Amino acid sequence: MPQVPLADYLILATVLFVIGLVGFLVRRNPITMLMAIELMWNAGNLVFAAFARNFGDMTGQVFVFIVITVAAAEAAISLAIVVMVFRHREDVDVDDISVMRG
Amino acid sequence: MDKFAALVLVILLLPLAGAVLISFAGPYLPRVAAAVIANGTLLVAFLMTGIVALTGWQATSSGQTIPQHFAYGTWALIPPLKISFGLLIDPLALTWMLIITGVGFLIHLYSVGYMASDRNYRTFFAYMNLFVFTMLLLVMSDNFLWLLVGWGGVGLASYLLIGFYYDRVSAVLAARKALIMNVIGDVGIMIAIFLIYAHLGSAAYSDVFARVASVGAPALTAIGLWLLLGAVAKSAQLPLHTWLPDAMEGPTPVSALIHAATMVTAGVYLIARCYPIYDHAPVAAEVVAVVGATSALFAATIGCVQYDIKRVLAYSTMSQIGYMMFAVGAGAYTAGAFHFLTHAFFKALLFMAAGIVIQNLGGEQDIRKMGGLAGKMPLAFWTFLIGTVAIAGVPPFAGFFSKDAVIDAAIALHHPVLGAFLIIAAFLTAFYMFRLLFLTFFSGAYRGDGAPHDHPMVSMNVPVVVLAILATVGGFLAAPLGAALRLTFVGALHDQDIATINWPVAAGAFLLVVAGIATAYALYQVRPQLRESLIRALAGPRQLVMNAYYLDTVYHWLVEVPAYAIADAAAGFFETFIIRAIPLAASATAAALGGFARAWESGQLRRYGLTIAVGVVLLLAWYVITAYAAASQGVLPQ
Amino acid sequence: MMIDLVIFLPAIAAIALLCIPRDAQRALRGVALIGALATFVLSLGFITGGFGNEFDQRIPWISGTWTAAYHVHVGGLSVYFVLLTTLVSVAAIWGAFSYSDAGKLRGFLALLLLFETTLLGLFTAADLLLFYVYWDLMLIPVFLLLVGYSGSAEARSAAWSYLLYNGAGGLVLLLGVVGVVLHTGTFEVLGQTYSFGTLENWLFAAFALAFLIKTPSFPFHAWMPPTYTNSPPPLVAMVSGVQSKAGLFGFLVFALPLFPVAAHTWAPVLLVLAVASIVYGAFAALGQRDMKTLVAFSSLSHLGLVVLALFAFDLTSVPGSIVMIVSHGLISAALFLLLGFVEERTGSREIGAFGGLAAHAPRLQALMLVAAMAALGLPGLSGFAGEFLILIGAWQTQPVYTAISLIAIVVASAYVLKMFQAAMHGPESVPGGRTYGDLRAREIWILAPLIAGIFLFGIWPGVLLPGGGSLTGATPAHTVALHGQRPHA
Repeated sequence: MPQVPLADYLILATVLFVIGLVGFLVRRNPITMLMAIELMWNAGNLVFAAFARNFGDMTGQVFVFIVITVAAAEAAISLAIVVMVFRHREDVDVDDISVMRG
Repeated sequence: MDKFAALVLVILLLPLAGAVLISFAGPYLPRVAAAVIANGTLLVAFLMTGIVALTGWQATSSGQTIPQHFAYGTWALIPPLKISFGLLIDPLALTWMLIITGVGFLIHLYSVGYMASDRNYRTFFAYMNLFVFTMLLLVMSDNFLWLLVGWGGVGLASYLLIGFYYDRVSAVLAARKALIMNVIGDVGIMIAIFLIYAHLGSAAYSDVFARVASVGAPALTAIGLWLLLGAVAKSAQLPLHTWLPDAMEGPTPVSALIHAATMVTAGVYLIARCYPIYDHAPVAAEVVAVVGATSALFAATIGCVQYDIKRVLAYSTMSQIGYMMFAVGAGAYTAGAFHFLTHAFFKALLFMAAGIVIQNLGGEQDIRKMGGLAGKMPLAFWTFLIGTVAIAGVPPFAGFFSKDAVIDAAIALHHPVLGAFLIIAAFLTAFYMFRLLFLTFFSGAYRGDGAPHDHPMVSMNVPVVVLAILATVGGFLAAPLGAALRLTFVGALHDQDIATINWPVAAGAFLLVVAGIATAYALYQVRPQLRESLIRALAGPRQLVMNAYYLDTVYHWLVEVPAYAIADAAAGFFETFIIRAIPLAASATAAALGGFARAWESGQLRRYGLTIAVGVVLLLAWYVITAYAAASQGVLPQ
Repeated sequence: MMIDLVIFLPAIAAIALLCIPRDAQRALRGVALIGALATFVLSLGFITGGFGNEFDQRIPWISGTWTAAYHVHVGGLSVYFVLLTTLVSVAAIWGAFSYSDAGKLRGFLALLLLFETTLLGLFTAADLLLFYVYWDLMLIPVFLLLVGYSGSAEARSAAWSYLLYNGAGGLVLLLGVVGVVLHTGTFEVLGQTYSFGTLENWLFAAFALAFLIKTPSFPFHAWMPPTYTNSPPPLVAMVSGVQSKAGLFGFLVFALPLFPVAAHTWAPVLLVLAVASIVYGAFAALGQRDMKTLVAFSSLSHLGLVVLALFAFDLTSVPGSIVMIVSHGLISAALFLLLGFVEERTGSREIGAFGGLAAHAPRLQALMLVAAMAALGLPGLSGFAGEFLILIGAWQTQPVYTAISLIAIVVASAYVLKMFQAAMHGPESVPGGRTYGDLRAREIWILAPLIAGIFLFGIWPGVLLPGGGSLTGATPAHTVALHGQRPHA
């Protein structure tokens, strides 16, 4: 079975990361921004997994699981915050939310 | 401590003990007890001083040493500085001690009656005793530090007693002025002590005077001039005399004791005490003589036009101290001390006689509202007359001899100009004193309100009579005083003889005195119209002299106003705009720095994202660049 | 052990106070006063065998790259500061009995006692870390007392200026301390000599700046007038009487012996600041209308003399500065407490707003007279003894600066009389026609020890310097600094 070269994984991960970063920076909807962050998380995961396979070291794969868990927790909290903000202000444009107090 | 040392210490401490006792017992002490304590301590101190003086006299004639020196302890020992507490009992100190305790006792006795109705009777005696203690300390100390302690102490006592009627604003201001001007003098003495310590390495008289010859004249001149600053402030000489007329706000016994007989002569004592310094610093001594003679003439002119009985006497005091200052400046130390002695008698007498008049007139001090009192107050009149002829220099009263000794010295020691000043001043003295006498006791009928009453009080009359006797015969003390003081002024540069009278000079001076009396008689008894026309003709100069040459005004504008302007500028502008600006500038800097950082804390989520992204890119770029640079040198990053 | 007891006894008393109900006024007062008195009596133990005795206690604390120890020491120099603290604290705590708000008395007394502990800790510290900790700890009780127990908006604002200015000073000191420790590897630098090289000038500057702020010295005194003016009398008695000596203590015990060369290098600057403090303080005092502010500026002037004494490097002026330090502690504590008594009676401390109190308060007048005359420098009282010893010494090495300083003595007579006469003399008048009484027995006893000290040290300053001025406990480096020789020049 022909091996996919490591460089390809890294290129894909970079593309994913940049898409996520640009998405985070240009969109103003928090839900979309969360999705963009998710893309960056997974770009990182892909790199971990690729290197793990390349070096035959399972630590990288283990770390992927930890990241997924943390990402899930982060998403849950973020969405909860978004819901609270939406309830409070009827609007979730992040540019308008610049102070911590309601 | 031998018996003699203990005795001397007791003399010093007795008045203090009286003051402390009266102060602490306060209102629990009956008024009589306060008076008894104050008078008793002084009388005992006087008697003991007398014993010491007589013992010293006998000891000397049997060949023992005097001056006697007693060491008691160390004030501070910080090597190389060592300052002790010790007393020096020599004829000079004894002369002053006898006057302080003796005349002091008489004035205390007088005060029993004079102050009888005062609310703060006990306080008065406590202050008076405190004064006697500090004045004794001043003249008994054997070193400059304790001299300064006494010097400051008499300043305090003088302050307290000038401001004794403290609910009177004028008294409060007069007291403040006196103390501030005296502090200027204290600073002068402090500087002198610093210089003495720097050049002579000690503050004890014995060390200092023994080493004087080894120091150059410039240093001694500086020391002498700074000491003189202290002396002129304390003795109310030019240019620091303006407090003395105002000091007459104090009760009359205070004026008699402090501002006539004793404290104001401390400057004369100081210069006489430091005679080795002045003998080796002719310039400084010359300045002392000039200040003294000028003050004598200056004050005499002002005395001629004043209308307040006590102010006339105050200017007269300044003038007479001018004579003493001149004498000690010219090197005739014994003559200065002699004039101090007689002056203490007749000036205390004049003040106390004036006090009787003032009290009988219910506090009136303006001689324009007196007149014709000779018959109504015979005792006051006769004693005042004795005082007047004594101060004017009519033989055989005390002032004749002592003033003649001073004028003789001026001629013998070649001070023609200053001698002329003194002779003119003698003429003026005779004039203004008889003017005072005529206006108070003669010159027509009584001009005041109501009818004057004479309330004879034994405690007031006895001291006045005693002093009148002393003022009459005091001049004959010249021979014993001269012999005694020879022991103090050992090796003095000039001849210290006071017992010989230079008859031609004395006769000339006496003629002038007679002329002064005659002028006063003509203007105030015979021809009042002539006086009126004279006043009109000389209105301008008279105004100048009446206002004491406007020196008070000059000082007000030259010293007081700028000092308060600086104070207000410091407390106001400087404090607000400079001192507080320092922390404000620091906080403004911090705020500016904070504002810079704060700009990043916008709360804009996407901005934070961008910051992070840029940061990451920069870090990556840094890593890549350094790795590339390392690789190009053949080193791979770990 | 004895040192620890002296340091922490006030703190223990403060904790005991917190266990007593707020409204048990008698118990609160009793415990506080007994605590302060017991501390004073215990501290007398340091001089029962004379001034030269040394007391020392050391417990290792931090080891490793940098070492520190809980090292406390009383002797030589520090004993004067310790005794001054315990004595003034008794007067201050007793004086606090008349604090107006009964509900807050407990906290007031407790904080004063804690303040005493921090001061004692500072003056006994023989370890730089300990010194620094107490240096900053000191700010807390004063800040809390100003914020919570003075009751005016100005006092709260003063509290912040006190905290920030002195906190900034503390920060600078911390920099200096860190610099020293990086070099020496230990916080226990007392008695050692080090060569800091070029760093020495900077380290000394950091120490000196912190010390000058605390003293305070011109031009770093912006915090002082509001703090002194708005503090309750017992607090200001302690701040001015004792805390103002912390910086001078720092100079004597740490900065001069550690950095003798830099001290000489910086001496011209410090002398100029000292003379500026002396003269400026005197004139600024003369320009005041509030009596407390007036006394505050007189403090600036008098403590400038101590700085002059230290940096004149004269054999007489440095021991003389000890007399001045003790004397100023007594005089300013007495004056501020007296002004407190005056304010209780008249409701004012404004010059011209009242007057003539002598008529019905002769004892108040008498004690005020002694304190005022001592501040004026009347020969025979302690203020003069300190001034004289400092000036006669400083004259030998720095005659010009000393001569300029003498102006302040004349100005002092003007401002002291301005205050004293305004309060006591003139026609009797009290705002609102209040009636007032003379000093009560308690008030006299509060002041009695201070006044007695003013007399004793004026008549016989030698009692403070029995070692003939060779301050025992002074280290070799110290002696070098004081004797004006440059050790490694």
